[in-house]
Amino acid sequence: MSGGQLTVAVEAEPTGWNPLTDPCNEACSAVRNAFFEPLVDYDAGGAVKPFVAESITPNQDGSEWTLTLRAGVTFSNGAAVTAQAISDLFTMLRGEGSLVASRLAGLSEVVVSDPLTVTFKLAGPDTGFADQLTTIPVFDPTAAAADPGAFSSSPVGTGPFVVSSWDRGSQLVASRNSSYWRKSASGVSLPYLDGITFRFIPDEDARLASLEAGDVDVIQTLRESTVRRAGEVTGVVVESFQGNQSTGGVFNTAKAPTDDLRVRKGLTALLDQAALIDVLGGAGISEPATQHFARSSPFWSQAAADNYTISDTERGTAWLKEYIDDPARSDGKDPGSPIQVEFNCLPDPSLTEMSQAIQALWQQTGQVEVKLNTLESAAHIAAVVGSDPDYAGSFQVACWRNGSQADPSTVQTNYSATAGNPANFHNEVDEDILSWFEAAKRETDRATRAGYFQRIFARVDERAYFYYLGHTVSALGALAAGQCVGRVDAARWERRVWPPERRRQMAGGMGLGMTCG
Amino acid sequence: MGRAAGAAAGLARRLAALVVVMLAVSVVTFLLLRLLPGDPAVSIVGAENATAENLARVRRDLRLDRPLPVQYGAWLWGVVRGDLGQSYQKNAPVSSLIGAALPVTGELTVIALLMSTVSVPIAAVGLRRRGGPLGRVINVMPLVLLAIPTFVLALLMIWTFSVWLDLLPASGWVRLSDSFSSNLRTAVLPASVLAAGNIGVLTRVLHGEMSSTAQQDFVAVARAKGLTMGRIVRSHILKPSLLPAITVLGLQVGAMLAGAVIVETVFAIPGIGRLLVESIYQRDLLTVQGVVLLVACVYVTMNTLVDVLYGILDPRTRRVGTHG
Repeated sequence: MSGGQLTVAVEAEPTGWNPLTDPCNEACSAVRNAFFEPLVDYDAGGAVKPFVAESITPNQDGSEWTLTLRAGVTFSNGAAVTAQAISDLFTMLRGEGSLVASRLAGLSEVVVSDPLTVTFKLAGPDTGFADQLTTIPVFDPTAAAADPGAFSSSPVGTGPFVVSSWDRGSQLVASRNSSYWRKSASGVSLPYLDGITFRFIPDEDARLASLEAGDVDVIQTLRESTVRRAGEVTGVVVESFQGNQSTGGVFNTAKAPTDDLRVRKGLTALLDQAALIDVLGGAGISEPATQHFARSSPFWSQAAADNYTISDTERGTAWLKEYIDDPARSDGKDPGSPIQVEFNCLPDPSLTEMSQAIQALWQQTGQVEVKLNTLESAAHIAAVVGSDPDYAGSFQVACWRNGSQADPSTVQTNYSATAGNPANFHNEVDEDILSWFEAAKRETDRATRAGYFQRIFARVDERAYFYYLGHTVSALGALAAGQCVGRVDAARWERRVWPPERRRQMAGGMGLGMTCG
Repeated sequence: MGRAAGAAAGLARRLAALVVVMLAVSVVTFLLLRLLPGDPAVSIVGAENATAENLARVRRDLRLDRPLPVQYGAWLWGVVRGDLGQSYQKNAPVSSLIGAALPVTGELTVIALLMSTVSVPIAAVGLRRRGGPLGRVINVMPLVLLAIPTFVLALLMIWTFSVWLDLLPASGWVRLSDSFSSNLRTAVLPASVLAAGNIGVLTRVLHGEMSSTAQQDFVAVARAKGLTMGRIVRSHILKPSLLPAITVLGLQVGAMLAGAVIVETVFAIPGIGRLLVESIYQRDLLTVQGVVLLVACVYVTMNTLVDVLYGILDPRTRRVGTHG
């Protein structure tokens, strides 16, 4: 059973679809994955498996990775996915102007052995290189180089759909890639759907109303309050996924008073995690977070959880008192005087409520005076990233989404040297952390490698660079099958559009296009 | 001949004033955008991809590393030549982005203006039923329409007409070139929201003017002649009362463009308002400058047209204009 159209509403659209030049957030990924696929991907157990590639094999120390491509795979423009194309692609990805160049900094050379085999030669051992490849979309380098502007509007990848039209600010119509390479287990050519229309509806209420009104079949959201409301609507099925990301914040160790560990730990301890999750609408939906990774991740660490102190007013008060009474306190104020902290956050209604709740919690003991700064997104990010040459940021505490779905090796730059490095938001360098990242690169045993990352994130919690509240719920709300008859065949909706094993990945924004196939 | 020369001189003065206003708007917009907190380069590459090299390259490409007067001069020189620049973020000429968005907002505005004409019969009925229940409702209605924030009204309309009554789409836009009927269906709700404030203002102004005109001697004479109130309103009160409404209408076009920012965002409509909001968030400086220049141009032109129209409709102002 094939055919049909799906209309999916997402919260935002990117400036373009070129992985080389256009940043892509979660909403964008849900769309972009319809056009692009990685060479390798994770299986359900979290192990790297070949995808567009047929196989990938490291040498003994992980400094060389030989990748064999599947025969017969083509880009959506008909050009063959060859070893030379992959070599050209990675040359482009490492070149000037590439947003992903920093992720491929360890890649020295890509050698073409035969039409379907390439070898990635690294500057040194990196057993996580295949993990890095899961984040790199495969696209036609020739098309991208020929006309970057056109490519950004109408990308050429190997995914199951191609862009038919893109009306900026309104919708993108994707149609079936007739030369798509994958088939179902029963031998049916994928994707099943004829097309997907992605509509960009930034307003949460309007997006939910569009679903209720039947204007769209599926909506995407990252807002817990919307997840809750969608679940209360009759006829709407909500599939949610909690990955490693969490709502929380970052402390600036380059600014007093958050340069002092006691202040960072004290402020974190004064937070009431359950109450703040509730303020965000996530009670009963969003799992409390303690670290970069969720409990389901192989990198989750009990030591990190033990190091993380939150919802403990007594200890928080004690840490802050120690700082306040310290004659050598870093903010230069007189001993005994309250700590003054500025808290930056975005002008989103639920985040504003959260900011006010945090202000109340921090001020409850009389030890802290909090000034709230509501900044629009670009200003907020710039305050955290900072500017050339030190990139120390101008903030003290900022609300921030912590954690990521990617392999932990991809976040090494977040902990590397601060000068000239905009990616180290907290601005402290811990040599142990860096040495463990390097050790993890050389470690071939997966469990031991995971152990290094667990140590890293236990140290991160010990140094209290971040505070974590609840894991971010990424969700899709969809009209239940009964309401989709005539729009999307009910049987396909149940069995194919929403096969249970793919639901979680869909909800994670990791494969909407694939799943709809 | 003398009158024609005078009119030409008046028009030239207005055009010169228009150019001065546009220049002032462009300078203020340019400076305000540069004063905004936030680094366009960081917005473009994203915090997760930010490296010193990436940021430096983007700043270089955007010429942000040059002095402000040089940046402004280069942009202005482009505008004079009809080139609004290239959106770095969207990889497209600003003029083409505006060209795609303008017809959408233009259509919404025209429909909203047409809807706003309902103010005339409402105000007339309000005058005829003055003191009665309907008259009181019409008296209060403009205040209600003006008091409801645009985004609240938009959501109320969506929930009522899309979710509850299932009559119209909740969001989205079908272009006129794709389907006339679908285009109208997607336009009705947003245009209604856009028109609501306008209807409130116009009804209020018209109602006040008509009430005032109704006190004039010539109306009393008409009554004494035995004309019905309906005829008196249509033939004697409405026309003189429309003049202030025309001025208000000119000003309201600007208000509607501002309202389009909210309406187009809530209804997910690819018009000028949404382009402006997204460009501000993305720190797409050239697009913001282009859109603001356009909006200012429309606003100033509309008000100039209103002045001219006013002169045509009311000979008294024409005489004042000629001598003044």
